[in-house]
Amino acid sequence: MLDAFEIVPNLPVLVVTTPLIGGILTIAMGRGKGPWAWATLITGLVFYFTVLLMQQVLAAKTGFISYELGNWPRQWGIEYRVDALNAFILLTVAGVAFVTTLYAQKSVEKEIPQDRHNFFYAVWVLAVCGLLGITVTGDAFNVYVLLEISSLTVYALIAMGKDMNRQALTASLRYLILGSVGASFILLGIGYLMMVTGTLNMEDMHDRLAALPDAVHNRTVLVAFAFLLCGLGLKMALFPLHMWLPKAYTYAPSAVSALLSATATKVGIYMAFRFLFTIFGVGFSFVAMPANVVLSVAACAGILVTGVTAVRQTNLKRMLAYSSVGQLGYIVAGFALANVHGVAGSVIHIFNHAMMKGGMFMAAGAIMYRLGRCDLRAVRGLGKRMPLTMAAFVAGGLGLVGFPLTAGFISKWYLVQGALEAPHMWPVAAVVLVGSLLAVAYTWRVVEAAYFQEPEGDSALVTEAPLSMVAPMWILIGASVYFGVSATFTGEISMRAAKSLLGGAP
Amino acid sequence: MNAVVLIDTLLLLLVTATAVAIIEVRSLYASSILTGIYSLLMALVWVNMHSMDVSFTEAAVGGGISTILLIGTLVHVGREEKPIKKRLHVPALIFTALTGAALIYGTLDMPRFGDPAAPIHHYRVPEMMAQTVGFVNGTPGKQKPPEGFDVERYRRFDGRVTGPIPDDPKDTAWRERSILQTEGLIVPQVRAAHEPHAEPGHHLHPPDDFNGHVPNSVTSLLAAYRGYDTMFETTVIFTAGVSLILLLRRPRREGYLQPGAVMSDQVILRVVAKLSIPFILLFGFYVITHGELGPGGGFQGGVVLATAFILYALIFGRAALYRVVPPPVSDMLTGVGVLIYSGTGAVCMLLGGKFLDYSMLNPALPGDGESLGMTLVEYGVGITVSMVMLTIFNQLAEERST
Repeated sequence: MLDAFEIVPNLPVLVVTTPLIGGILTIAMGRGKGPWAWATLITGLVFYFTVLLMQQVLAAKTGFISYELGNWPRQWGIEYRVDALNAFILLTVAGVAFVTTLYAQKSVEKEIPQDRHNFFYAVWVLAVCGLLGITVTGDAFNVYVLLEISSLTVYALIAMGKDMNRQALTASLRYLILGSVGASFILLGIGYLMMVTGTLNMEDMHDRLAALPDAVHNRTVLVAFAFLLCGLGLKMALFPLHMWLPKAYTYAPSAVSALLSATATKVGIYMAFRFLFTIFGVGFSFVAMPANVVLSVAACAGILVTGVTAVRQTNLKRMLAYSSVGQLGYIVAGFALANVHGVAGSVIHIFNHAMMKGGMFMAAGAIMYRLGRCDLRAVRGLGKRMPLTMAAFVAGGLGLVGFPLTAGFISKWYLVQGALEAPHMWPVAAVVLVGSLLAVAYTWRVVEAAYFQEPEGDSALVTEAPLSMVAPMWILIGASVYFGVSATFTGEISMRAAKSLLGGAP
Repeated sequence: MNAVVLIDTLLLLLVTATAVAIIEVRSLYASSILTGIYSLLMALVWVNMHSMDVSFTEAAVGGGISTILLIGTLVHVGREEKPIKKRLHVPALIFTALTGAALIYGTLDMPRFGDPAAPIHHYRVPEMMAQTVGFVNGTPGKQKPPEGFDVERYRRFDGRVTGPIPDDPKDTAWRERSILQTEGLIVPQVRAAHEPHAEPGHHLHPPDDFNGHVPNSVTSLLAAYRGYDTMFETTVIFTAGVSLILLLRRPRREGYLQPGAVMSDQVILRVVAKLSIPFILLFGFYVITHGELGPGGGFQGGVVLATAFILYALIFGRAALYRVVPPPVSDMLTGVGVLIYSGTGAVCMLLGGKFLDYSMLNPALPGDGESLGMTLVEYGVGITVSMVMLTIFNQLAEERST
């Protein structure tokens, strides 16, 4: 029966169905290390598939791969469409998911009750499935369905924080309410668009909107646009709609914080790419509508305000969470410029930030693992006691600052270039630079505590975190340094993605 | 003003009144019951719109099981709302009012309700209603019909697909035909000029896609054309169940069973329950299996099945229920349903087709393969939905008795 089956033509769907079926089977993997090993196997397999998919996309003559589910024509059924942009995001999400699953073993053992590890990893793998499913699809409603899966799973994962104390539960509930509001806005937007266009396929929808006489003054289209912008803003934690994020990332289990910071909001931004560029088109979103002004003002305000807030935090995870909102600001400010360098900077920073912040949350998780807390006081003197962990944290911090030879430098280079090319957008470049100074400030506070202060209490007795935590941490941090030195691959992919988003050659 | 508008106006007024009452009433018990009433009213609105499947789901899920679960929750949180001093939150009011205004503003350029010239009625959708998506306009495909393909059997459908959509949407004659079509008096039309499909592979589907097995076009849309979405909707239900277990279930050493009150002295209830449970179960299976032919399907049928189990637990106690469906079994079955669905899709893929291309299940009669695949996935949905509902109920009951 298997002789007619080939992996390569089915790659787009395998990327999503493998974690779906694998996630459900995780429940049957017993109590001990079974669920973790199985989840590692599944996420590793998915990562392998995304690598193959990337190769296929780069080799494809049209620049994209289309897969029609159920063999129904794409205009009626559901289409998976993978181009340079989503192949890149898929690779990032699957890669981070694999590495964080490796990392998760020890910290989950400590933070989650033993008897529900199988359910925990099942939800974990399903969350990855939802995030990948949003990224791979070319159908507007399919995005929403997978968004439901990724949201539900993430709410549950966050609520598992620290023996399910009240703070994790309230953080999760808060995110549940705001996330549901966001998802409802997105659904309403899709519904209104469906009513005007009669289709759900993204490309088809774009063509119909473009053919609509006077779409700019069609009140249904306008409301759809506004609702989508609000909903996506909530989902990607765009300032000032980021209120759910800091608590959620602070109180979630360490491994979950690392996974989410590197993937969840990134996929939100990917959705914004698809809705603003692919469905509405640059002409509608950024020329006819003032989305660029709204988004860049929100993003710049976010960079400054959350930067200042991050400096004032004493909890490492909370500091990183605020820093994440600021870094998302860079990504949004980049694509709001709507020129090639701006969008490319945005795409490349999605990848770079995933590596740096994922690694830094892992470092915070390692401190949590050893000390049971991760405030600045606990960090004192850890430079000597946990050298690898603290070095990883500092290397990641340098990346956030945008220090040369780190990945963050590459992103900011593109962003500043894009800002200076766009008319009247030089303030964005200025904000990027001020944001970097703020990143210096909050990274320095940790450096100071770790290397220039004496350990006190139990901090003086700890040893380095286990290898199974340090190694994955350094894989991500190492990647961020590697792609800071040699940015040919990431740069080319993001330029290609930017050009196809802006309507040029793929 | 015709009867439809009159009934709709009346129903929507009642819906609004119920919504206001839900917010205003202080007793949570009363507001739970009111949400049930709200759902039943909405079910009537859907009936008025001729969307029987939606109505059925709303009645079963909104009016039925969610009311039970809400009341189950009340046992933990108490029947009365906590008194709040400040009842008016001004920013929230402004925000809500703005959202409502935007929603209404957006309706101003919408196609009018029931307008046959609306995009939704002549772009893409007619092919779905006529179930001729796969084998467009009855034209024979580039591929040779497979061995045993009964060409004669499909020829009778050729008459269905005639008559192009006029370019002028105000063409009144066409509108009249369309209205007849909505009333089911003539068969829907399909655009004559189709853009060519990306690949010729679709032509394995018969001219009517399902060999006439699936008169209910809602089911064909949900389980075939957009079956992939439905698979993930089922996964959403599954995820809800698993998340609940993850968050709320007590460690297993405490044991599952904290027996609650059993209504052993209520003879009438026991007899009525004993008499009705077999019929509820039968009806549930009927709804699942019959989804291809009439309103219903896995979601509604699954909910009906779950109510039979819940009724059993309420009357005979959870100890009796656990003898029938022990928690490990129901935990396992929640996943089995999704696995049946995704497994059906995977089998199609392993046979050399695309994921969820049910026609691969019977290459000689692809339409029959589609029908078989749809029945399989409907059962998958039914199993997951009923077992997740049961799990949620058990979880609420578990908490109550400790």
